[in-house]
Amino acid sequence: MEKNMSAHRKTAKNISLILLLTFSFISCTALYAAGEEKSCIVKTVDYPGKDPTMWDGLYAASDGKVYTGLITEGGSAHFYVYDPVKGAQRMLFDIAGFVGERGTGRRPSSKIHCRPVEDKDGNIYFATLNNGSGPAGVDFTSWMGGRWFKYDPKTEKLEDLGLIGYNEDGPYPVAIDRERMYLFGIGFTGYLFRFDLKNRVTKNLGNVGQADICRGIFCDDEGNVYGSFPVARVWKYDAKKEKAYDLSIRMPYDPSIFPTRLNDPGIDRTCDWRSIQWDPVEKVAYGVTCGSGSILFKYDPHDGPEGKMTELAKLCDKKFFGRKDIPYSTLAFALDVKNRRIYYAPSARPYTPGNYVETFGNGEPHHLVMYDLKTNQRVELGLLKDTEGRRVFGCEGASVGPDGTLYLCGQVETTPEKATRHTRETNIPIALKLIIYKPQLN
Amino acid sequence: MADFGKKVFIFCLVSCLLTAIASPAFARGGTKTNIKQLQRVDVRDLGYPMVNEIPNNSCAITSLITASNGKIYGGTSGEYAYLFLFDPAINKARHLGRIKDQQGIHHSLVEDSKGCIYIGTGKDVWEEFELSKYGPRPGQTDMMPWDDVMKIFEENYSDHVLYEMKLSKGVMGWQYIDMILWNDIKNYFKDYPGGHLYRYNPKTSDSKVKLQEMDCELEDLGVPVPNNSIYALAINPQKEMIYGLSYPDGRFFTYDIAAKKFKDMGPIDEKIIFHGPERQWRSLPRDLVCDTATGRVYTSGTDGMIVYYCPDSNKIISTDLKVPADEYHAQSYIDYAVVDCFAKSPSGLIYGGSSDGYLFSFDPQRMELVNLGKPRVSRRIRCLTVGNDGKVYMIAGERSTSRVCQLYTYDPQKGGFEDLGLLVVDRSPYYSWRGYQFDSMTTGSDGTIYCGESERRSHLFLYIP
Repeated sequence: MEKNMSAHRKTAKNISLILLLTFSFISCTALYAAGEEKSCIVKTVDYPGKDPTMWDGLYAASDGKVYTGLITEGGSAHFYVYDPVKGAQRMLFDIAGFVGERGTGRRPSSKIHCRPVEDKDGNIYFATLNNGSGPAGVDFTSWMGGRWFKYDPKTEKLEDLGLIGYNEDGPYPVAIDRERMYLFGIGFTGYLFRFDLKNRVTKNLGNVGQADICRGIFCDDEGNVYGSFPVARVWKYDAKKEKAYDLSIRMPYDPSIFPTRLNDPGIDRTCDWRSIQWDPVEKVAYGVTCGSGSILFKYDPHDGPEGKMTELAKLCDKKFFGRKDIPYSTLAFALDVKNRRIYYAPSARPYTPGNYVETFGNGEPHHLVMYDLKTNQRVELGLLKDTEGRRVFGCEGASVGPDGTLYLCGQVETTPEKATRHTRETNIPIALKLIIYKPQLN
Repeated sequence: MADFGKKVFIFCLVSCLLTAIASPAFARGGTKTNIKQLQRVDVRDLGYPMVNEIPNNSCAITSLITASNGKIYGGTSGEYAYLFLFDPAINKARHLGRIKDQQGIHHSLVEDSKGCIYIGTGKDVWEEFELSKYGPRPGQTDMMPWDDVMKIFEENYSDHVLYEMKLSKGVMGWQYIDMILWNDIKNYFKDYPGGHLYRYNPKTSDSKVKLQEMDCELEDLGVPVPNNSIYALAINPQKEMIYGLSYPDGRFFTYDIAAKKFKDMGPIDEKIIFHGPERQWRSLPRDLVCDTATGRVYTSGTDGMIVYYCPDSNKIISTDLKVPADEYHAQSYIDYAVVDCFAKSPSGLIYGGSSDGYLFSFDPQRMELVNLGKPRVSRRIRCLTVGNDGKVYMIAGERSTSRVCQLYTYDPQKGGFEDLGLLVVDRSPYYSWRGYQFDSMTTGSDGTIYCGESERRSHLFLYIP
């Protein structure tokens, strides 16, 4: 009996030792791996304002300057310019003040929710909206409507091109046809608007989406405009017919990845593409799906009667590989046409049913990913940190300048005094900053 | 104390915001429906998707009727007009063919006593055309009947306005937006030969399968008013008479089925006004209703008064009953609304909706009109129908992209409106759809309410009360 007990004790001791060694090995490996993780060092620049939010409103213009539209929900959108030569960021316009909404008790122009676009002369265009901004307690009908804007960098003058419609919403994504001088945008209920810049007339081209509309549209080299709608479908505005038609072609789509809410599962934004850009070199569009694990795809609208879709890679954070709780995609997606690269800053927040799903406010490490169009390879650029070692969190805007510099807009760790928000779970003080990544280019 | 008050205020504000954020409506991206049992709302595609459904930009449903065979027939507007049916027996909609060279069927489907369907066609009412800024543009024709215009202005405007108008004619561009609008509308219709009246025989044609570009099997009965669309139709099946309104000239016409003859009875409205809310439309009544007991055909006319065509005297007679309107007591403003839609109850009482968004009842026996009120601030009752439960179902709201249409009921027993909100269908992950624009409704024989969506991409909505 005693002999048996002794044998048992010995076995237990051995097991404990093995477990201890295994645990130590795993811990050491993890620490080693963490210590070895490559960092992606970026420069960050403060915005002079205190806007806490942004969605897609970032554009690096052909003159090298970087324009940002930031959002104060329930307040005003603000338009900024960053001059890389001077290294200076300025607030150009308080939009609600510019259009005379301040001091009127009306719902204001709180949002610039589009990536600004540029015409051949270097003028910058964007649009405003209020949807989702409220304030929730202010008369919905007081909102005068979304507006088209033109900014002339030479004179630094902003021009209000007028209401998209009286009391009508403003667009989320915006695209430009530089030949015909049309702006296109989709409002929150899914209506496609076209603004004729020459005649200054907005036309409603009909409903192309539904409530959870796609956040990216593009114009091809023939003036056709494309967007996506559920389930994994594509619509096309035909420039010759001046009407929008649904195509039967399907986007890459994995329905097994979680939708944005599972308490009331629905056909939502995860069936759309999240961001997309026209590549004038290859004459194709590169985009990222909203759900499905952030699939990078190429869409050639001229290959066949409805074009051809090609799935290229998954762009979600690498920690989600093989998982189903992948967050839906961010808007921090940019194509470097000249250097044949695609940059993407994925969300690090795992999808948890019932919890907040956006990348903003998440305090986990965020990475920058690059897809090399020359080698067709996904490249991990590393953990985002600024030159002071501050952590960079969620990003929702990206654009590449003429010299190949990547600009992102996102939440960066800051001092409590400068914070406009805190990360949700970890209470780290954060603020929106312009994030500058200078890649090593061959 | 002041600090305490401030804290209470901040607490209340934060509580309100948190409540708002936590509410299902917020979480659902602003989608608001008040229908508690969403399984009672569904949609049907207008054909087999991507094979023979009615194509985009041609599928806005602008006419619906319940036929005596129990099927629902619909007409669409857009690039091409289509006829379709929904057969409850097979629970599907399919189209019955394209109507050659026609773009719209607006409030213009009626059934005769033999079960044949009559279709009135026209241009697409939703097609936008360019509006001029300073009178006729290059390539446009000056289509203003200047003598008549002078007469209207002499009757309605002060001397100085008249003087300015006379000055403006042909000298420095037209000064009056209404004249420019009217000229634009007339130019838009000047090369249009006119909407046709067609006859469709369900007995011989319902069984035919049509692909997208195949034509509907129709008998062409002719054009009642040249250069005009057919804007609305009504029928007296016993008398075999069809009644119609035209757009933009607002002519009231009749069609004698047996004699196969049209008759133009003249303008329904002597004035040309643009009461809105649409900026490209002349304000004309958009529906007609026939009281089969008397044979009278009711609509609205000059100054927004209820008018009727009297078959006995063969005249259009105005009543002293005015279509409910939002009246603005301003100078230089001719202020009246038009009828948007009518629906008859089994008792013979007629319900109507006005372009300013009022529901009213009209008793043709007593010649009594009761303003039942407005279900919402927005203008227009887009369509209505009387349900088998006696309630009036209506869709109200302008053709706005941000303040979209909503479904309401009016209960004649209790009085008052019930706001059912947006028509939202959610059969995720298979399909989901939110209806924003509707321009036709009908009640099925089993009481199902059918609503015709009028969009670039449209569906037939079903609501089971």
